[in-house]
Amino acid sequence: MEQSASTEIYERVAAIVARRLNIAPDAIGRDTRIVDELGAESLDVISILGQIEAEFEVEVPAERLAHLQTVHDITEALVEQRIHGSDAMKQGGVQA
Amino acid sequence: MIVPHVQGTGSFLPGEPISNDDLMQLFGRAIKPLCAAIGVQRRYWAADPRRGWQATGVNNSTMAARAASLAIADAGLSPADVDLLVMVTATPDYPFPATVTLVQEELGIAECVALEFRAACAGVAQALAVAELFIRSGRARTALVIGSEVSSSLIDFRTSGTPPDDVLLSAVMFGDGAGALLLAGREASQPADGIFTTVLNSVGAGRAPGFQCRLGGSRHPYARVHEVPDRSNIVHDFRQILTLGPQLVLRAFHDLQRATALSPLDFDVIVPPQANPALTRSTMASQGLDDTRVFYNVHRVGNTSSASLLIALDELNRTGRLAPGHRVALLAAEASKWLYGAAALTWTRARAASAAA
Repeated sequence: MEQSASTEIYERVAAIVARRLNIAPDAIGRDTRIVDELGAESLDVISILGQIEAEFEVEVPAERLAHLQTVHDITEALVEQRIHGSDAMKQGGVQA
Repeated sequence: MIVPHVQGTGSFLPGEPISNDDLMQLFGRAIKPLCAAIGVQRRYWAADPRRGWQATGVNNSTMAARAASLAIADAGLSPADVDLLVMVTATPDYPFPATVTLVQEELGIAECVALEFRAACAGVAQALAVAELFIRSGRARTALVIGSEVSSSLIDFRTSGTPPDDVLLSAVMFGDGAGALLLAGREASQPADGIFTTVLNSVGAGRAPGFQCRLGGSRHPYARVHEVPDRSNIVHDFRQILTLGPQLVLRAFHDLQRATALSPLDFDVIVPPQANPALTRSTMASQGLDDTRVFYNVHRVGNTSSASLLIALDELNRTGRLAPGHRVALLAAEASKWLYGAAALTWTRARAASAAA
């Protein structure tokens, strides 16, 4: 996956997080923890997850959620899914 | 000593089930994780979103009357045998007259005592407690306890764009429906016979509501709703619900155990609040109670608020899961202004012959 594609995904994820938490996207650093540092509550996390799943047409398995703490973590997971599961991803049913 | 016994049960759910896929059609795929987190798989609404929100021809009082008729028939009685109608709802047909009087009319009961409580999930405990007192005191020989809700009527599903969290939460969680119990007074044949204990408590003084329907009352009447800056009608305080909700359920259960001198494993069937399946299941699991003893149907019918425990009990009765001598705990808890209640009963009806739901 090209660096530019990864950057684009990162920016789209950051925009989703920023919109939900009502903060500027550039207030979110690469390793800023969404819950611990930005104060996202459980309903925020569920909503962010829903927006990501809808926008990227993927499904994030529940067991992966605990490891997705930053925008960078989410971006990596999405990049990984694009590399390893592009066919399934089109059907919106990727289980990474 | 005369005590109330459950002699009949009934329930009614309107229209066709609305699945999570149906909700995704309505609100977009982004609500999928919310559906998974709440755990309700289908619900029933009195207006069908798949047919342009057409009414299904039922409202609160007609649903209540249908459930009540089934409970009366299940008890082998007729409407004229009902001394006391005690109904609970948070979504009445009208602010007044009380919906219970419309139910009385629909059932064809010429005269009876008719009471209505304004409450949601905890309301069934209130209705049971009052029915118990009427029967124990000899003021009524029979009581019909009804819970009926059209929670879908509170929610404006037709907002443009992505609906706010409160609308989505309500859509995913709530279902409409009615449930009823026909209680009849009979001489107790053992120390803890029939409905033998009810407990009630209200603990929300000084605490903000966990769930609120803000508009349409006298503070914000419909005629002046346009003057209200924030017109969100349904407001969930999800953070409070997650932390205090489980505590409320456990308080209801602990109070019932203290009042009955019974321990959790003395109950054959425990019916907890049918509100948020994922949250309630984890709360009961924290007490070492799993689904072999704890009964839920909220994942199949949605959170029907004041009707939910009665709908669950009707399913337990009609599917033959209850047998004479079974000890049953009904636990009710409500986040609105933090109410809870519970009832303990010994099942005295013969087991249903048919396993049909």
